[in-house]
Amino acid sequence: MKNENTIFNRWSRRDMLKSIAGIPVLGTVWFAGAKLTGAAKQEKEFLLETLNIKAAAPPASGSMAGSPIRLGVIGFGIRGEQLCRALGFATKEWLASMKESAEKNPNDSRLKEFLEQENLNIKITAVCDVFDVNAERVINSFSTPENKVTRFATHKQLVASGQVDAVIIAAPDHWHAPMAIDAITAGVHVYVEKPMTHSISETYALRDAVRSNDKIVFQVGHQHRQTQSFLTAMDIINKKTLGHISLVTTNTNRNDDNGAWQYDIHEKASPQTIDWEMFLGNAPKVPFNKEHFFRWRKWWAYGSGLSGDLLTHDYDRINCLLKMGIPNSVMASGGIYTHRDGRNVPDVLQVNMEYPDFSTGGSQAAGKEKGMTFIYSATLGNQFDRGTYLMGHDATMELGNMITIHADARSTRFADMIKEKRIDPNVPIYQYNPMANATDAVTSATAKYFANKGLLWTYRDGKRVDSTFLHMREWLSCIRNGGTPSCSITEGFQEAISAHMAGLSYKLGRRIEWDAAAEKIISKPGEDLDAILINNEVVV
Amino acid sequence: MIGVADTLNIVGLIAVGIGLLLGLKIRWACVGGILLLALYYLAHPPFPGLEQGPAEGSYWIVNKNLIELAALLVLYQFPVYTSFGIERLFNRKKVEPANG
Repeated sequence: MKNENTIFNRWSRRDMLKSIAGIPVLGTVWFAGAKLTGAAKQEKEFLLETLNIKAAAPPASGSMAGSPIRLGVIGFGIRGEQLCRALGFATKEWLASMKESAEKNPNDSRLKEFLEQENLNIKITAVCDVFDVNAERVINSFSTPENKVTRFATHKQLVASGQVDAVIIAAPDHWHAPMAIDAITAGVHVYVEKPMTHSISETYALRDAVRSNDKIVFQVGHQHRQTQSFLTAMDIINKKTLGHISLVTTNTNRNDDNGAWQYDIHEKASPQTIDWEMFLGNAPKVPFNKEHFFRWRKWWAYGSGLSGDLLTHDYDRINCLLKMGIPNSVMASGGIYTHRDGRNVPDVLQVNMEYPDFSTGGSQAAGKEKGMTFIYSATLGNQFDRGTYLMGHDATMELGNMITIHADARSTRFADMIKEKRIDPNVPIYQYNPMANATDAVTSATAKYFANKGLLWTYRDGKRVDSTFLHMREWLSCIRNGGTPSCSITEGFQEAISAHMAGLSYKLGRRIEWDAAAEKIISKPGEDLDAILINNEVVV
Repeated sequence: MIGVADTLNIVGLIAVGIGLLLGLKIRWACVGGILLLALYYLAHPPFPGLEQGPAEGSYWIVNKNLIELAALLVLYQFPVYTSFGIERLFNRKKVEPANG
């Protein structure tokens, strides 16, 4: 050993080699790992910069301070009760049942979320419901010693009473417009459920009423407009990320009786407890009929079936993004194929709306692309989740609570990146998930269907929030602080006319066209479109 | 709590890896490695009747974690500090004399 070359007189070359041979190995492993993650991160940042999408939260609505707003409830059925809950008023029965369910299932956070809802500083002072049981439930649960809820026999009395500043209307469709018009002319703010109107002439009458009373704050119940992902979706469209959109497909897939409007019939329902004449209103006079009262959505006389009830939600969702307005023409077809139980509204419906002059901008030569079709496809006999797709030349966007964008393999805008293999058409190039970092337990397939359309809840700062609550809050904020809500008369008018065109097309079996200049649906001479639309004699 | 466990896991793996690759404190690295692998093995044991989970291949009682654990056990028995690694620099006296 003494003859060998040593370092520090201790370690020879052989020693050194055998000892430190591990260091280069470690170095290689580390270097390769760092390089790989660095490259992946760089690619991701490059893509995000190219797309330049600003994921933003909607502006918070204004302050709820001030004197409490006095609210009247017109219609306390299924939806009416949900609206009151969104306002912070839950019936004793619901609170008890939620408490029980939370005890059985610790993941059920509905009661907790309700109790954590922000106080909207309102008082329920009046109720009007033709069914005694419903009206009594409101008085029983929402009356306090300081603030008694008064029941009125008719809505006209309610709005003229001077006891309400604003009303929420959750009566059947055929009452929406008459009640809203009466409330507006009485100087009361209005939140009306969708569809905005039941017939075509009502739509114009309501629009005139709102326009002549511009102090009134008017909001239509399309709460999906509060969905967190929507501002991001709007930004994506504005930046022309998708290219020219030629086709938008929206769907309804439901497969259960409740989804087909077979609601429970209350055992206390009778001509003594229900003001039948008041319920009928301008509908054809028929003898007392419990089916008609609780399941009114099944008949054209009171409801509008798929076109008024569900198409309107999907139409408004896309109209909110693309602002395409009323279509030039509508073709619809369908039938009663899955629930032949005496109803006369279709349960399978396909609606095609044409917009030949509409474009969001494109990436190809000017003049090559113009026009778009909006499709609504619905069945009440299947629950497969189809999703909403906006199909553009450069990319396809899937719209739900989450947004996913896939580049198109033949895209012009992304052609270079696809060729360089920096973009794989099979892998999403962008995904926006407002629920990330939030624990979420979806309670059932039906809930997921509603949630994906933004109808149940959305996310704010990773926290789950009720969409209807946000929509109501926006309406109340406009009442207190001024401004126009997101779904006011312009949007409501477009939604109503488009839905009625679809209903007409289904009934007449022909293409229905819109005269944009005259703002009228084109009809054949002598045709009474309203009569056709609400005709309840249609036989399967 | 799960954040703490995650961080400890990452730190542990890095420490074991560096220890074994460089040849520094090999016995401790072996023990640490055996401990971690035992945890991984017991987290999803491929016992008959239990759901397997995503894995390349179908395993029955013996899987990769168990084999690596056995390899580390073997490595623990050998006096590696006498032959390779940085530890060798500090154990000159025990190094076997070079064969002639």
